[in-house]
Amino acid sequence: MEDGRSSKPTSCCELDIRSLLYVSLNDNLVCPICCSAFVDPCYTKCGHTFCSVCLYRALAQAQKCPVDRGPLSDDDICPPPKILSNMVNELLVYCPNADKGCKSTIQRCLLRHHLQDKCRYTLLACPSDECTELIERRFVDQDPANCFHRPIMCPDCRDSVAEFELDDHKHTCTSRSTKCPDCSKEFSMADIRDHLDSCSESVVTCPASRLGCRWSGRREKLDSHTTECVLISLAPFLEKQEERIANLEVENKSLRAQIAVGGSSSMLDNDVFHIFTEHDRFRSELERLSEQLGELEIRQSVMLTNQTVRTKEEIQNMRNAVNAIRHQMHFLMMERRTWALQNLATSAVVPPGANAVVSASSASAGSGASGGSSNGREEVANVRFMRRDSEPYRQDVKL
Amino acid sequence: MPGYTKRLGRELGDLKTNPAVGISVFQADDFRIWLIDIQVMDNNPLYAGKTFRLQFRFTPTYPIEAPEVQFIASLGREIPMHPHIYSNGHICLDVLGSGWSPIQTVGSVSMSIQSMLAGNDRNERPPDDARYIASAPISPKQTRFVYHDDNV
Repeated sequence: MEDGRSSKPTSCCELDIRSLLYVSLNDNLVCPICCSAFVDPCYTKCGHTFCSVCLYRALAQAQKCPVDRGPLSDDDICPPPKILSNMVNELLVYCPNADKGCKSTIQRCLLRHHLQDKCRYTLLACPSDECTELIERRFVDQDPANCFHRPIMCPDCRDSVAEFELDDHKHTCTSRSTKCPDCSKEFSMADIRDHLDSCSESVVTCPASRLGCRWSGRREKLDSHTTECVLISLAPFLEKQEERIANLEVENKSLRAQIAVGGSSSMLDNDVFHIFTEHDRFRSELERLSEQLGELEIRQSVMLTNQTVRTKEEIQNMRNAVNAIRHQMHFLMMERRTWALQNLATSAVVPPGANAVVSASSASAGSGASGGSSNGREEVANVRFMRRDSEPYRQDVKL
Repeated sequence: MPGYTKRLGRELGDLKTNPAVGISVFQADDFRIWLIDIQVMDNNPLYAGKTFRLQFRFTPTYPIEAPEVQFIASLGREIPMHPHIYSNGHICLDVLGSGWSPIQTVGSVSMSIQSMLAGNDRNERPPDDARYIASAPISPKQTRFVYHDDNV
């Protein structure tokens, strides 16, 4: 039964293991997901470390490493090196009861032990059998049988206060009277503060003591001092100066931060820097290549025109040559035909088929010999016709 | 105290003690909605001299799931012109959706958006802006953006 009760406070501090305040914390021991020191760390095959709970929650959402986004499954996770577990377990933390007054700093792995057995501010079940409240250990240690929740009457204000609260109550009870240390008069706790600020007997220092005035004396003498104190008359001016200096300091700090950011951004990340230089290199390469390409294009077009001109010239030459040959051939055929006609006239015996052909051609040849160029064109047409029959693909050459 | 508020508390402390240039916390009164003001620091003529306000909306699943992030317009704060930012403030950015990783923080997301603005030179909205805002869900996370254009 005792165990069941005392487990209540310790279990609530176990829940808060991520909200512990560390005395000092190395950034390398911080989980990138929960941003607090590793709790039960684990290690991925890609070399990153997380709290187990954080990593498994992230993997349930997406099966990739949160840091490098590479694929990651449950099988790729292994326990961390022992040294890492030891390092995070030995981190010094402040006791979670620091706000109640516990000043201890403890290794994290020993915290549970501290809270369960040592910390004077841990809440325990009230030792009294009738009481179900919790009470800090320091009271239980004082009197292990007493119930500190028993109401007690405050001797000054006559309110009922739980016993364990009495100490705190004494500081705040408004009805309690106390003596002014300077003028020895009695005042209630509510009034003493105001009185201390105005008691004419109390010893005060000059308002300009901050600026170096060493005067101190009873409050009633203060007025006469302020009229003659040089530093008080200088105070407004000095304060203005101080304000300006503070402003300049703030400005200076922000400017310095900007410079630092500007300076560090150039080497912000080695990889980024590398990528930038690589980018620049590629850009200059690209420029060089496009320049070369332009040059090549120009050269090629010049070459092409040169070649076409030459080819055109050659074609012209060939055409001229063909024409000359045609003329010569024409001339030769005419010669031959007239010669054949003369032969025909002299020899009487001619086969009938040949005769017909020759007579047909002789008719034209005869008129050609006498008529001139009009018959010559007919001849050319004949020649052309023959050529076409034999070599149709050469047609273009003649045009 | 839930884990996510612990982490957000740390992030807030970080943002206030080591603020990145051009990123400042305008309002972070609770762990549900934060307003972050961002400025584009280089001399991009589109955004020079202007401040934009980002709204982060967190759920208890943060940081395992991405927060809802969008621009909001208010007095002196407009929605920046960008081919990936709709005129209702929704942002088409992969790290806010499928590309989210739990190690990202409010600061890192703000910086991503800041650099996304800095790298832009097109004074335009997404091509389907009118159609999108006519039927857009309240939360940008309910939109299935298609990250089709990596150039901008």
